[in-house]
Amino acid sequence: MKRQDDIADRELEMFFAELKLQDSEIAIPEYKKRTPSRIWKLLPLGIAASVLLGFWIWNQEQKEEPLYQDLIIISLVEGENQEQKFVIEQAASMDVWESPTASLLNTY
Amino acid sequence: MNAALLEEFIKLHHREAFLWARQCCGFDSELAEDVLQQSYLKVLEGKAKFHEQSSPKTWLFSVIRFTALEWVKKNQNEISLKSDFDLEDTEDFPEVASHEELIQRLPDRQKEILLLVFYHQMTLEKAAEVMEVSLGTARTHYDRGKKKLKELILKKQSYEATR
Repeated sequence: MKRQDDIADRELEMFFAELKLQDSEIAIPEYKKRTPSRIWKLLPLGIAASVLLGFWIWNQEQKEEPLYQDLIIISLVEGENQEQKFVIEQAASMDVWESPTASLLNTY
Repeated sequence: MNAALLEEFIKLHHREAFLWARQCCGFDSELAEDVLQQSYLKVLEGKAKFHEQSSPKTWLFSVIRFTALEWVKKNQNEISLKSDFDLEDTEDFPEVASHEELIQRLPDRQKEILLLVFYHQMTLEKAAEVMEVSLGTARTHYDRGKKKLKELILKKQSYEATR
C-alpha cells in the first residue's frame, strides 16, 4: 500500500514538474512599486477646508443686504376735506415707514 | 518586518506569488495581476499584518488566497458547490485536457492543497496555514485530491492510448 502511494506521489510529482515547465513560459508581469495611498494624510487638510467653508457660509448669512438706493413709499391718504391724495416718501429702510393708520391701533 | 524589508521580500517572491495568484484565479493571468496588486497594497498599507506566527511566505500566500476569494465573491454571487464537495464527474473527457484543465476539475480545496504541496513545495502544515484549515482537514483534502487527480491522469492517459 505504501509502495503504491509512493508511486502515485511520484507520478503526481512528475505531473506538477511538467506543469512548472509549462509555467516557465508564462510572462510574469513586472513588479510595480505601488506607493500606498496617502489619502488619510489629507484628512486634516480636508477638515480645515470644511471649517473654513462653513465659517464663510455662516458669515454670508449674517451679512445684511442694503436696500438699493432709497425706498420709495407711496401711500394713499384721505385729506381733511375727504379728498384722496398720494403721499410719496423716501426712506433708506422699511423700518422707518409707518402706516398712516398705525395711530388707530394705539387709540384702541 | 519594516516596510523596506517587506518590499524586498515581495520582490524576491514576486514570480512565485504571481503564479500562486494565477492558480487561485483559475489560471487567469489578467485577473491574477489585479489580485496580486490588491494583495501587495494590503501588505504595504498594513491592512494585512504579519505577526511572525508563520513564515513570511505562508503569510503572503494566505493574503493572496484570501484576496482572490474576496475578488471572486464580489464578482460572482453564486457559491460554488465545487469548493467543498466532491461532485460526480459526469462530463465527457475533453479531447486534449491540459495540466491546468485537469487541476481545474478538482474541488477548490483539493486543488489548492495539491498546488501548495507539489508545486510550491510546502509542507502539509504550512499549506494548512495558508488555507486556514486544521491539519486534519488539510490531510483529508490532500488524500482525496491526490486520489482524484491520479484518476484524472489515468483517464487522460487511457483516452490518449485509445486514440
